Parts: sequence; C-alpha cells; structure tokens
Amino acid sequence: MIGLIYNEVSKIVAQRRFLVVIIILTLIAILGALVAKAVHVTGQMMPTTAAQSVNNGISAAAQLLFPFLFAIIMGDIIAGELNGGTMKLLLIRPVARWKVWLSKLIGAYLACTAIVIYSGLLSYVALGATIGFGSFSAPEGGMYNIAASAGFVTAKVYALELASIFSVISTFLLISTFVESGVAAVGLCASLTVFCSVAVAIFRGLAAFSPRARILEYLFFSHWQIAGLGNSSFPFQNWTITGSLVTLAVWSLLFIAIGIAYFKYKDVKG
Amino acid sequence: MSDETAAINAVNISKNYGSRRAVVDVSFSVKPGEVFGLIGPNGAGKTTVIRMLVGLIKQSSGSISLFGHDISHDFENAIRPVGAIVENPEMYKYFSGMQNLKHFARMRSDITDEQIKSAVALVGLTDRINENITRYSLGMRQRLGIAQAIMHNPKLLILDEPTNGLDPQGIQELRLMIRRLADTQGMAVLLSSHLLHDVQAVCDSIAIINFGRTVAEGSMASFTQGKATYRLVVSDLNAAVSLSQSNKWNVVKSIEADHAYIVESTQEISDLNEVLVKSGIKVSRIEGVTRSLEDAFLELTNSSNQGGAAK
Repeated sequence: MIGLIYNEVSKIVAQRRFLVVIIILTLIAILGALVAKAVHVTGQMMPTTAAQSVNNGISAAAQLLFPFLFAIIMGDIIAGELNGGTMKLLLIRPVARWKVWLSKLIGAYLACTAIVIYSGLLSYVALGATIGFGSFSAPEGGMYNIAASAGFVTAKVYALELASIFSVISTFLLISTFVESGVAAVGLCASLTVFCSVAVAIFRGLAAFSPRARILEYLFFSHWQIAGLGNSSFPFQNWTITGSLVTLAVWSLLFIAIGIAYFKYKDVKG
Repeated sequence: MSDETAAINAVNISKNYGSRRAVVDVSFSVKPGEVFGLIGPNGAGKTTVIRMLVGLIKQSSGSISLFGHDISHDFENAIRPVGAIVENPEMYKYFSGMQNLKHFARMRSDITDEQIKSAVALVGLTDRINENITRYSLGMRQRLGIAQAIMHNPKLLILDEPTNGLDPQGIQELRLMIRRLADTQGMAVLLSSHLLHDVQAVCDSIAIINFGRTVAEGSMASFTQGKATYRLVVSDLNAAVSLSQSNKWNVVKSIEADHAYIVESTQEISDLNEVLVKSGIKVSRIEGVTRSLEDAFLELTNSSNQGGAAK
C-alpha cells in the first residue's frame, strides 16, 4: 500500500500544474506579507507578529482558494488515467481495485496537505521577514482576537483545515471516478468549489429566515469552510466543532464507499 | 477445457453491452509454453476478450481462470503471473521510461532493479530509458510496454497488437523473443494481431473470432496443412473443373487466363490426373499449393460473414 501511495503522490508532484500551484501560493504569500507590512506602517491595524497572524492567511485561503487549487491538481486523478489509457496498466497488477482507489485518496490527501503546510510555513517566513516573527505563546491577535495563544489558534485552524481537506478530496475523487474525461472532471470540481462557496453564503441567509432551510446545513459542502470561519462563529448558528466534523466525516465516508463500490465493478474500456 | 493447469481456460465467455452482444460463448484454452494466436477482423471482439481475461471488464456470462484461479473471484492470484499489453501501452508522459517501469514495479513486491534492467535490455531501450517518454517514438513506447509486461518474469504473457508501431526489425525481434520465452521458459503467450504472417510464424495454435464468436480453433497445422491443395494447368478449363467437381474435388479458384484452377481434397491427386487424362484433357502441370493462414482466415471469416453479426 505504501508503494501505491508513493506512486500517487509522485504522479501529482511530477505534473507541471503542481509547480504552477506552488508558484501561485508563493506569490500570494509574498504579496500578503507586503500588504501586512504596508498596513502596519500606515497604522491601520493593531501591531501583530507573524506568529499571531499566520492563521489568518490559512483561514482566508480555506474558503475558496485551497479547494480550487486542489481541484486543479487532483480533479482528474482517476478520470485522467481512464481517458489517458494508463488506468488499464494499473488495474492489471495483483492489487485489489479498492486499494488502487484508496491509494489515490491518501496520495491526494497527502499532496494537498503538503500544499497547505507549505503555504503556512511560507506565510510565516514572509510575514516574519516583514513584520517580525514574534512568539506563538503570545495571545492570538488576528481575526479571532481571542485570549488563546497564537500557537493554539494556529494549530486549531490547521487541524480543522486538514479535516476540511479530507472532505473536499473525497468529494473530488468521487467526481473523478464517475467522469471519464480528465478535463471535464477538473472543470466540474473547480465549478463545484465556486458554487459551494456561494451556496453556503446563501444557505446562511436562508437559515436566518426559515427554520426549514436549516436542512441545508447538513449538505456535504456546508462545513468545508470550518477552518475559515473561526472558533466562535461557525458557518451556521448552533453548530459545534464536533457537529461540523461529524457532518464532514459522514459525507466523506459515504463518498468513499460509493466511489470504491463503483470503481470496483467498473468496466475499464479506455 | 476444465484443465486447472492451463494458463488460460476461458469457458463460454460472453459480453453484452445493453442489447449488443460483443462476445458470444467464446471458449479456448492455452497451455504453458504454448503461443496462442487470437485473430479476427477489426471489431471482431478480440480486445474485448483480452480485457475480460485480465479483469478490466467483467464477462456477462461464462468463466475465466488463469492457472486455475478464477479471474472474477480470485483476481490477485489469477493476475499475479500475468504480464500484459492491452491495446496501446499508454504511459505517464511526465515520467521517464525508467520512472514508468519503477512506478509499475512498486505495485508488486517481487520485482528487483536487476529484473527491470534486464527487461529494458531485452527490448533494446537501455540507452534511452532515462529519457522522458515524450521523446519516444511509437515503436519505443511499444518496447517500453513490452518491458513493463515482462519485467516480473510472468508465466503468461498477453499481447494485444504488440507489433503496432514497430519497424520490420523490431517485429522480427519480438517474434524471436516470444518464441524464445515460450520455448526456454515455458511461458504461455496469448497474441492478438491482425498481421497473419506474424501469427503464422510464431503461434502454435489459434482461434479465429468474427462477430464476437469463435469461428474456428485448433493447431496452426490444422489451418495450414489440412487438405492437400494443388494448382493444375489444363487444356480445357471448364471441362476439367466440371469433371473435378463431379469427382468430389473442391474447386477453390479457377483462373481462365492461365487455363489453371486450384483444387483441394483428401484424395490422391494422381487419381484426378488419371480421370482428366482419360477424358481427353491434357494436364500440362500439377503443383502443390501451400495453404497460408491468410487463406484459411479469409475462407472462415467470409463464410461467417454470411451468417451475420452476433445478435
């Protein structure tokens, strides 16, 4: 299984678009640090350090940017191999199909997690170089503005983002399993990302007017922004971290079960 | 057909796509050390049969076992001793040849670096194996495909149109390699090809498929050496043809311009000669005609074409 996962990670990393994503994130981190510096210089913001504000960038990116970039690098992880003809060479090895599917899920998860960690580290270094590194034991001074230490909040935001990534990846993998064109799969995943981001904002508004609309809060993408919406205000009122995580987990497991079941019995003709 | 030691034992396999029957009750068996040819016109169902053999698609009915392991119920054990190319061996374009081979090698635990190098050398790619495969010609990609199929020393090699893109020298080398693997290592080989000359040169047995059905199956000799076939040059072609037919000789073809016709039968040709001469027909030449696989193929597929497509 380790060999299979290694294969999947190496295929994602070897593609040019992975490099493009890294370049985009690098530019965004540098730009973000320069903006932070300018804001500090003009005195429009409370003085903070990199340690105190590094979670802000991840929180913002978690809402739309990260899922969109994940769609680009792994949306065709199965569909691309089906219409590219390499899938048949994978499936004539003495490896069960569910292992092939699961290795793609884990490989994509690791690659996407690496992107988020890279982005966080780079933001920290860039911010540190412009506004000072500071201490993670200092109170969090960013958007949450709470008494907890910057290190605790940062760790919490990252942990929630990792849960969100798992849900996003399992959804994209399911799409990639059903669609036989790599380009179409990437397009669908990217479109879904934008749609979900807009839909959650609409759902939030609807829920305020109609209690019945609260059913929408249980949809598979309603809690993708769990990391971006902070400790005190979740996407929807009356939700806890546990409730959001359970919702994400249930949908993820359902998508994994459907994906594996379909992939196991799928006729591979391409 | 129930031989559990057979490399391939396909029994009445069928594949339906909705109401279309792509493959209908195809059965054949391949023994270890045997080179078996699967031939048929384009769209006959050869690739569908091969996809079922390697588990890429599920048969609608029938059973397939490889070395006694059922492909549907014991896939991993069934496919373990198998190496295969199914249609064009597409590889990862962002990897080099070696990276591609190592990628597939990591999917099993029994392939060493030495085995990979040995397979690369066997297909003649040692000098170019570290290049990105976007720089490979079609023939080189085909060779790389063969390398990925043989690097784990399989006991059964399934090759679907392996000569696509190969130059004449490459085709001859592949032919020799297949024969050598079968003769020295006892490897069973299933070869699907539309190049009948290659199939005739390398295969021990064949099955001809048309419209998804097995039209004929047997040893190569049974297709190429069956009935004795002769070409006769005579003074009166129409009378000779008529006389031959009335004496139960099958007239395959008559060539009026040459005053010649071709007959086949299990009878002695001297008997026909005697009949013709006694009837006043001068026979200026009788020569044996070697029956090629192509002759047998065209004859069998033409007769099955009259039967129509699988319904």
